[in-house]
Amino acid sequence: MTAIAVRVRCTLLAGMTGFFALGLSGAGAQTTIDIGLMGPFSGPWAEHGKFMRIGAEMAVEEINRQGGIKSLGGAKINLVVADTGPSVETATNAAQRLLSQGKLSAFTCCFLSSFSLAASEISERLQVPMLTFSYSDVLVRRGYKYTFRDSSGADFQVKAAADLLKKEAAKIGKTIRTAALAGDNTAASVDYFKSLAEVLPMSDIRIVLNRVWTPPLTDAIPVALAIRDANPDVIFLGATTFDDSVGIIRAFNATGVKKLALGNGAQFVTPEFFDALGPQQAEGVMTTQGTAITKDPYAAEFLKRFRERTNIRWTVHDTTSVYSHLWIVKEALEKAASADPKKLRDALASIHITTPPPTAFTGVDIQYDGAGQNPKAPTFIVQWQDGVPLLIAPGEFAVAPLKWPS
Amino acid sequence: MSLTTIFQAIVGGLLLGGVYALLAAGLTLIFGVMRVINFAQAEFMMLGMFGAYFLSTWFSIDPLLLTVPVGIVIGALGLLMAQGLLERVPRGDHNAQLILTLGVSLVLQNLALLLLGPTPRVVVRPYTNAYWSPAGLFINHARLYACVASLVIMLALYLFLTRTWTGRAMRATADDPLSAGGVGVNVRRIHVIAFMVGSGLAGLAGTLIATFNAAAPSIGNNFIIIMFLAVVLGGLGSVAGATLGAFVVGLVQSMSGLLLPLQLQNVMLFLVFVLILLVRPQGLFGFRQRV
Repeated sequence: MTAIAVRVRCTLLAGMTGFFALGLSGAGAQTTIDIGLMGPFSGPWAEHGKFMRIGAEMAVEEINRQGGIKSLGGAKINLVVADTGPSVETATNAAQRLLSQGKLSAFTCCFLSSFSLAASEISERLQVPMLTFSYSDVLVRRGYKYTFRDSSGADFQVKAAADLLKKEAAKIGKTIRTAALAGDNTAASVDYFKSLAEVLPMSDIRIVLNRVWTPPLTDAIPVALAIRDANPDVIFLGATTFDDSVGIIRAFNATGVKKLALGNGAQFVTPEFFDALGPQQAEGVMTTQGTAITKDPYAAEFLKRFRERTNIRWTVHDTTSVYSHLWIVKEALEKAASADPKKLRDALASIHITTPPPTAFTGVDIQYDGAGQNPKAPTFIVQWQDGVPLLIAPGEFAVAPLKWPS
Repeated sequence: MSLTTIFQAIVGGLLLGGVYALLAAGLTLIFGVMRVINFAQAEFMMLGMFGAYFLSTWFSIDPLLLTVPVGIVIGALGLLMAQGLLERVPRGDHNAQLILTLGVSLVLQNLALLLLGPTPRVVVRPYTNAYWSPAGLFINHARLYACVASLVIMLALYLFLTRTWTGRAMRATADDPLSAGGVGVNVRRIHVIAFMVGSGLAGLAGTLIATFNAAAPSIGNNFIIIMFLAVVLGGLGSVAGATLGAFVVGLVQSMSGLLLPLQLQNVMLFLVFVLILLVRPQGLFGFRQRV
């Protein structure tokens, strides 16, 4: 399906306020600054696009309500939304259309790593800063100057997960020696598995099975049976679509696979995932998150506002990451005192944010290294426990210990 | 590779094929009678899935009981499309018909996205997560019920096509519309009925698929290629061929996972597709002169 780029004016009120600001601060003051949001708003990953959009809209409303960008005469942020569609081709076209208009100061993108990788090439060529929470480490390994990631990538997540699982296993007298990998062949999962193949042997964990499919998976039972026969101590899951994520857990339950299972994204903790499986089948399933609701009071306050706005019981990193990105861009705009993408890029490269909102979801300062990665960004691991996804790692932010499946 | 693994793949393939058969039968019926390639068929299925989801959620009715009512509603929608749009396109202008159905497909998909949102809608019934385990095999109750219901509907379709005047008129129109018209068959009316029945079958299939797959606006994309593969494999315009083609597709998808990496599942499917068409270009049940 053709990706459709849609321009969205945030509110009429914001525009009117901007109009008056123009009159008050002189003809030179900028009234609105276009910031892009690219995500999958249609296709198999559209659920994640929905969560991203909620985060972006909440941030834009709050920033504008608090007076906009003060260093630019109170200029308001105008969210420009573009749909990546269901494939790399549609994502590339959408990025090309969105960025070639030459009006964006920055944009946040795209959930799926393969989409972010495609968009980052265009962003680099057209020199528009891109903020992302996608997992693929290739995003920050090509020497690109316009790509920024404030959350952890596949390599770091794998190391953190392996360490955590071994440590927690030791506490209860268990040892993790073998692992199985099962997931689709999207860029995030491929990178995740590549990192696992490098990191796990270093942690004395042998990979006993590797099953990769092209989504959608027609039947998850053969995969579950292969895992059951391989009998690993831990399963790393890389299913990215809703039906595959639900199907594989359903198949584990049917075939009696009761192992530690760690997914690689928000698809394992959405309310729909829980509704499809119920508390019993979802119990014990874990997933990694780039950002999370930490113990910071701002994060708890955000979750309250999110619930009031959406009637959704909990949120995932699609929302918190994009919400953070908009606030990071806001700080960079204040610092640059310009909406010019190149100046904004320089401001982002040297930014150092130590206070919420953004730090409430990463738990660490926001600061990028030369490659555009926030080197301090931790990996968050969430686990379903008694019908609620609880943060179990890193220890300093955890609200519950790891629960071993039984 | 154990014998159980092989049997599991066969059972999985047959269950898949059973549901594919219903989708393919509708598509081939429309093509056989009208010579229209209906790209909107997968979207009728998607609407059937949403129909099953909303009605079962609002009125607490089992989606399996909703199969026929939802199928009738989707069939009525097909009737509107046939009368309101397809009949206005010059007969024989295949390009216009093709673009029209493709356009309807995109409109329906995007309307669903706009009105219903991207959230996957899951029908959860006691049988959704339940499995039957005979002889070490794992058979999902929802998939089994869907396959059995699909076969019952296919039997009903067969009886309709062979035992009723309208069904026979449809077959006559498919074989030779001019001669059918000459013996008193209202060809235009039969075209509309064929489109209605074909889209209704997609709606029926949608309600069955909703018991084990989440309804989402773009779900049709996962099935449309499979539908066309089954139809072409079986022979364009042949309902029996499409049914056989659907089972071949299901079995190849399932069995290929045993021999090749899972990511090559569809490669194997297309390979078998090419091989069959090399040997029988008209498909398994197709007639050379029809194509």
